[in-house]
Amino acid sequence: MWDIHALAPLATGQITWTDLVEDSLLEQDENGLLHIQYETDLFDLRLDTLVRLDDTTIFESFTPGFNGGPINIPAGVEVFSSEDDLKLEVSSAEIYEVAIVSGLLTYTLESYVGGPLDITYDLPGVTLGNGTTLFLEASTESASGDVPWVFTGTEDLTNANLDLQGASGSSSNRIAALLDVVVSPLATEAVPVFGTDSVRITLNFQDVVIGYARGYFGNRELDSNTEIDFSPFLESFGTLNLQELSIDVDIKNTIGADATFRLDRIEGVNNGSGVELTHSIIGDNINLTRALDNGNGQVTSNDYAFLIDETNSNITTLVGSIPQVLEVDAFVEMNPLGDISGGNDFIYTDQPFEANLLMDLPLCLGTNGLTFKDSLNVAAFDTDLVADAELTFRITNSFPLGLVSMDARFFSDLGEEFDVISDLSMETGTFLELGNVIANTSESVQTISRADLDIMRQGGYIELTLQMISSGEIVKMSGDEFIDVDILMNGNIELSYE
Amino acid sequence: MKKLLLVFGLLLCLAQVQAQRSILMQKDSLVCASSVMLDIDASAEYRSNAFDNELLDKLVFGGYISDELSQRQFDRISDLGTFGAQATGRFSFALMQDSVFGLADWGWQGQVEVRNHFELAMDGDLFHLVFDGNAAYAGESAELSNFWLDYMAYQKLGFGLVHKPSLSGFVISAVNGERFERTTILEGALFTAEDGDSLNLAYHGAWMRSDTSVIGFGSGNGLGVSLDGQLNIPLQEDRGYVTLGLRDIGFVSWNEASLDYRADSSWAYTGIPLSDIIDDDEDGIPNFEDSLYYDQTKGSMLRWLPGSAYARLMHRIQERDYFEIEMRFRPVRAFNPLIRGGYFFVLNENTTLGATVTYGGYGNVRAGIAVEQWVNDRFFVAFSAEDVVGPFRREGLGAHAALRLSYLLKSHAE
Repeated sequence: MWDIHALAPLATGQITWTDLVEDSLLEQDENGLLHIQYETDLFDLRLDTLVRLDDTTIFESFTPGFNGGPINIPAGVEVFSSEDDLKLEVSSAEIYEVAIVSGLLTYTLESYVGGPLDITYDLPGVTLGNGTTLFLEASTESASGDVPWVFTGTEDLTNANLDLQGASGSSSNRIAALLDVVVSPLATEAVPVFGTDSVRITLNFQDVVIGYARGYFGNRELDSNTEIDFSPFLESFGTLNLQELSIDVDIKNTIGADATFRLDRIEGVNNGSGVELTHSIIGDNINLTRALDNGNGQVTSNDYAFLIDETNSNITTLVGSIPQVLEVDAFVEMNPLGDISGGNDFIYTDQPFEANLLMDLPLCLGTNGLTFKDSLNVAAFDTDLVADAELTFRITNSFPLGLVSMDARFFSDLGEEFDVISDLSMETGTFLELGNVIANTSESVQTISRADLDIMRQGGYIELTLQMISSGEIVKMSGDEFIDVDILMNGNIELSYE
Repeated sequence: MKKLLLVFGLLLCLAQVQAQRSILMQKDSLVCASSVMLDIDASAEYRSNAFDNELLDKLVFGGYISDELSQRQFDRISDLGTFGAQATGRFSFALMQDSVFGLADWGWQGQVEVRNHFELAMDGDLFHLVFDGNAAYAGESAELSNFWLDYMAYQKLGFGLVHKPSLSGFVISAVNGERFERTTILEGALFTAEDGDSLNLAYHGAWMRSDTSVIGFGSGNGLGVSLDGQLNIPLQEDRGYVTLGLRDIGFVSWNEASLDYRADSSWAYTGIPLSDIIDDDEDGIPNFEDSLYYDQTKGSMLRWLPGSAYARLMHRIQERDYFEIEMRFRPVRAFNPLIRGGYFFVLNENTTLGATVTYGGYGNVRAGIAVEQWVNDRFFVAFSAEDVVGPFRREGLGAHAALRLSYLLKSHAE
């Protein structure tokens, strides 16, 4: 066992905006100014919210309509017929017409009659993708005692249309169905039919995806509670002086139904306390008339947009308080005046009702004291390293924000706590013009003991606290800013071998 | 230190000597007249030109190696630090009455031998890096070139001929390769930036080793052949001998499971990426071994035994004393040509005492002794130590001892 005096780089890394903010949220404008843009859907009112055809099984049983028997029915003579509507479970709306994107219809015909029959089952309201209506037919053989003769089949419902107005043409959620049962003309003798004999039909709609629906969607009220993860840091305190901050709210009604939209609350929440947005639009109803269906899936929507900025709201104060979360409550009501379209509400799957919020945060800011706190997991060191050393933190900062102090406290998995880094300051970058900042380098020496290392190598987490300033000036960020961190070790390492 | 001496003593029990001076100089007729000569030889040695007993003691048995101790080693390394150790045990016989193919002066001989051999050579910079770290090299390159480490353990079983009048002869042995390790750095350097913000390692070398799945005494990881032999040339008027000898001239072909790592690359290190320390992906700290580039192959390989050649002159001064000069060569960088000079005094018919001075091999100058004793013209005991002071000092640079026990079976004529 012996000690060596080692001089070596311990760790290196670079912190850029993409380490602090998700890459997809960053956008550079035409002047080279970096923006953080948070975009979220307050409402995404899709067709399946309003109209949905769940997997449905419809079972129908038909009998001759007399008691006793048998009655011998000659070849070619009708046994019985039926005209009926099949009720579909189409959510709670009153739907007259549906266009299906994809799905399957599985059917089963069962005959309990003791002779050959010709069965036809006509569903004129179901128009298949090839333009024909659905027509099921089967020539049965004689049932054998209690064991029926069975016929099964499947129809592809891709691009099918359902007329859900029933046989009367004025119902909703119903498919007209016509059944005709005759003794087979090829029967060599009359077929004995009992009053208890039956023909049974089972229809099973599976995996039906609807692309368009028309009907009355009902008077419906929907609430939205959205939380936007606004900060990359766990905790932050202080204020930011932000400029040109704005929120765009865009509402697009592409549904053939009137709607009322209301933004009830926008609140930035930081550690339990919040700042609510004040703006004339908050709490006001915005009425959006129904969209126009131009045919062939073309829709003329009814849109509404409004801008929230520092001229008409307290948005700068709200965001300047460095919220961790932005809470947005919104409300929408469909058909607030009832069925004024006479059952002609419509919706296309690919054109939902949307209400989007886009927050644009140009990184043009200043602060006299901003504190960030975060927790970082530290991997366990798979080594028996024993050392005491001076750690030199060399930090090269091109952010025009200075680091007043940085403290790191290490918490082991066993809950032990000790200082790793304390009072580590960093010079600010020298801002010349946007995109042209001179990086400045600072060095700070910290010591770490063998006892510290014993705890750290087990792994745990570091609680990091950073305090930053901009000397009261407004600074602009281009996105090219970086902080290079090099940690150099100069110390004694104990070596041994087995 | 006591532990080190104890282990050295145990090694000696296993181990061979050239301590046969009085056989040649006084009792050669006795040997020729016997029917069989049986020998047990044992020798053990460790020797360095820089690394002393105290360091070896700490490395082998544990303990803290202080800055003072490592600095003492470093101060001794002027060019290349060398270290060698070996332990050899041998049983041999020579049939002195039989003839060979009708040649009465020739007889058969054979041997069984066990040998472990280790040698090391390193530049002072490498020693300094290992035991003192790289801080002293800030802004400079530490030289890693000329590193050589070789270890081989093997057993031999051989037969040969002996020329009875001169006790010259040779043995050709089959060799069982037990284990070998060899590390060489042909060229290498570690540059440490002035402020320590980067390290640059250039390395060109190899690491070879025998099958690691089968280890232990007698493990058959290779097969080979070796030649041992010596030619004793008598001087006129019985004034002595000139001896020319070869030892362990041969090779072992190590089996298909032998490993060969070769590297000729460089590696720049500027620190562990912070993203790996701040464990976002939970992959943990990267393994440095993954950053070093090397080729690994597995397969049979041929390696020379740690052979040597020697020449010796023994010359009578007066009737009861003589001197000896020996030179030994082994063509590796860890071993410098060895020169030994000795003075021997025949105390009486059965006892010879001697003093030697040796220089070279793995070490520097050392003074030794030799004692040879005959008992009843049948038993012969010889003991020699190349360094009588070194083993008992912390700063001593090695130890050596050799013991020979011989027994002469009487001939039928007697």
